[in-house]
Amino acid sequence: MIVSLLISDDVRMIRESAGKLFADLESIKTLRRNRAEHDLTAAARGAWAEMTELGLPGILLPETAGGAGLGMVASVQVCEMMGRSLTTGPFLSTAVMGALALRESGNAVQANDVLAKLAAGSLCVAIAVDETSRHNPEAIATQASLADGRATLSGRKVNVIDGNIADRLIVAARDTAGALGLFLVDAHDATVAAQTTMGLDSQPYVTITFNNSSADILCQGADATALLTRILDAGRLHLAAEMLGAAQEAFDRTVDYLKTRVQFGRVIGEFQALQHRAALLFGDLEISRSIVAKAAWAWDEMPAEAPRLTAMAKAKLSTTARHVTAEAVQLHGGIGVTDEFDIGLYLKRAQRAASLLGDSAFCLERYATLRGL
Amino acid sequence: MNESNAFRMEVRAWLDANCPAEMRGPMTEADHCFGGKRWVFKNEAQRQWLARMAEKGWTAPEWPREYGGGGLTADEAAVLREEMARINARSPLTSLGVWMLGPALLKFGTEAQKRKYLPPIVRGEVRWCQGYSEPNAGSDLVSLQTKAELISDEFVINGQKIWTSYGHLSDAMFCLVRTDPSKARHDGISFLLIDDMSTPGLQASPLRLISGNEHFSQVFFDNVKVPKENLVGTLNRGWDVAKYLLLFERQAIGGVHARAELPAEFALREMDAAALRAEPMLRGQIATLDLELSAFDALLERYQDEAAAGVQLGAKSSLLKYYSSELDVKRQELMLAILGNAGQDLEGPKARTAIDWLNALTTRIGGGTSEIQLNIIAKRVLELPGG
Ligand SMILES: Cc1cc2nc3c(=O)[nH]c(=O)nc-3n(C[C@H](O)[C@H](O)[C@H](O)COP(=O)(O)OP(=O)(O)OC[C@H]3O[C@@H](n4cnc5c(N)ncnc54)[C@H](O)[C@@H]3O)c2cc1C
Repeated sequence: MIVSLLISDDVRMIRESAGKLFADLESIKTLRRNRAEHDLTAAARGAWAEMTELGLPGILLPETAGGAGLGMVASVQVCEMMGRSLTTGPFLSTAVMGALALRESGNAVQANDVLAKLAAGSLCVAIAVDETSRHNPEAIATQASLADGRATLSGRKVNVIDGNIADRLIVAARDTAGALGLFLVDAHDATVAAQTTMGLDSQPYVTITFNNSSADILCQGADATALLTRILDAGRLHLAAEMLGAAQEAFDRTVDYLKTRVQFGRVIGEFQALQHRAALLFGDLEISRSIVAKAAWAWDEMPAEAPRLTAMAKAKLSTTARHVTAEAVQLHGGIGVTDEFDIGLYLKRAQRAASLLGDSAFCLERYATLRGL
Repeated sequence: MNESNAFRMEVRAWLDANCPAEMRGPMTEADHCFGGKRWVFKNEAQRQWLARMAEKGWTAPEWPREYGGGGLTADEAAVLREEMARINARSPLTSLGVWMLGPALLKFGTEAQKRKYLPPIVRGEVRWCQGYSEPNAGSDLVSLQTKAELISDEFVINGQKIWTSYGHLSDAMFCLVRTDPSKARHDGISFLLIDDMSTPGLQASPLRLISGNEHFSQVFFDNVKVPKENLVGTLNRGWDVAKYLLLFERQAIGGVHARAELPAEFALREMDAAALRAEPMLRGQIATLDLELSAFDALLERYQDEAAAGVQLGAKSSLLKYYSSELDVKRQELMLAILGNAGQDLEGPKARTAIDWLNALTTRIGGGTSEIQLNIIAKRVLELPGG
């Protein structure tokens, strides 16, 4: 087998059908309408129903569990296309992080029941980890009291991705001895209170409080720490892919603009200062695309390399996507900074995604540690 | 087991048996093997490695067998590259003949030219240099003035070339000359081969770089005579050949630093871990550049995969040339910083890094400057208008 960063025909089909679906959804229009109405769930639910038609909730689950049995090389394509079209929906939280967590948690009884519903698109899962403003999976204080093979959780989680529409929450908490565990909680339980405000990107910003909430135990101790790292890494990889899509779209629109906007009697794309900036943005995107592809490939083919490459991919895209979208705004001039014009929506999503699950500095620190620096 | 797997096993076994231990491991500037009539091998292993690879045609893996090449498909060549990388095998031959002239001859050369010139290139027997630039024709190459007049059966060349890499150490030169002075710019340029650098009237004298290396030279032509069969392609249409060849040059330069040592590896070797941790800013710079270099390596890998799948790289080779040289400068700067003051002692044990840094600066200029590469990306890849 030739080590290849190219995608197979199967994966290309997923990419194309997801791309077509998202284009048809006109997600940006929906996003604007939801923002005006301060409705932070309708867009995500609508898109999720359509994505379920394509079988995307179970993309990473084995066929025996009602899934498509595909790998990360396939699932990152979906996120890239979501980024291109600014489509929302619980793909990252449910199909990627949730599916991985449940499949690998080792608690087959609870997991299988939830997984079947997850694959069918009838149940959404979110991961509740952060308690601090900056992402820090080590700063977990949520308490888990264990008794009779179950747990009772109390604590407060911030920035829970898709926490506003989740049916189940996978919660990181510590037992009285300080050992980490992952727990499964019914999000509709009366002891679970979600507070949703609007994020910079018009997507929800969710804080969840647990007050003696009853939970199933998924895994504990070293297993929980390892699994949590894996889930977060999977999330980082897919956020990188989403940022790639958003940055690429903002860039493509910008190149079109450089070819049509006329000043000083010629199209502004003739000015060398702008040509060089465009060339550098293009180069940065080509490089970014390659490290995302390589990291995804490693998850499927060379898992030992995946953590390091994932840290790199998220660090790289968190920088590139913010830079490319900010340049896109600048190269559009005045219209670029108007709310009515869409390029700013890409800037805001890039900024938000860059900060989720660890920004550039966090991921570089993670790389440095993994590298033994 | 599929065919490509069988081929991989065969390549692996052959490399294991034939690549001398001294020819494995990272390659610095001093370890390149340029070949040619005047080449003095650094050691027996270097001679052996070239001879063995040339025998298989693997110094030019994808050239047809009839011209001495390896006759491999793009996929097979990719396997060979990967297997060489796996054991850190050095490139057996650094050759402008392999990188540039060969591909140009395969496309534009006559059958007789291919038979005459290609096999010695594969065997590393003739060292070629590139005579393009002139004192007044650098980035603006098409303004070149060295002229060649066709007088009966010979071209007679007069003029001057400059920045000719290793011109004074080479056996032969491919060059661009003006054959029709009445035509402007691209028209009226021809692509000529000079088989012998000791032809009467031809004189190459070395120029010293800021690194101290005698890398390039000035070449003077005073009624230098070349048979008319040495014209490649059509008379006055040499720019087509030159342009085609430049793509290969950029691609080749773009790949030069593939899998170069990352700053983290260098730092962990040169500093103790505690000292490094006490300098978080430096540690951060190292991690940042590791990332940029690794991401660029992934790009090289992706483009190689695309090439193996039959996708032409085209003008995107400028992207490789740009980042390869720009990132190498950053890498050398950082390594010099890591060494601290010991890196500034030109006669000390760490002098190499400063020299490599100075050499890296030249790679942003040779083969078309970084600014020119950005122009090409903007115009040829992004199709932005103008000039
Ligand atoms: C190490 C090395 C090896 C070389 N080997 C060879 C060789 O083997 N054979 C050979 O023929 N040549 C060789 N060259 C020459 C090389 O190709 C030229 O030096 C190069 O093309 C630049 O030309 P120049 O030196 O005349 O600089 P100039 O063209 O005068 O450039 C001066 C500055 O102006 C900038 N500039 C010029 N035009 C533009 C533009 N349109 N837009 C924006 N900026 C611009 C350049 O980027 C540069 O920064 C080599 C050079 C080096 C450094």
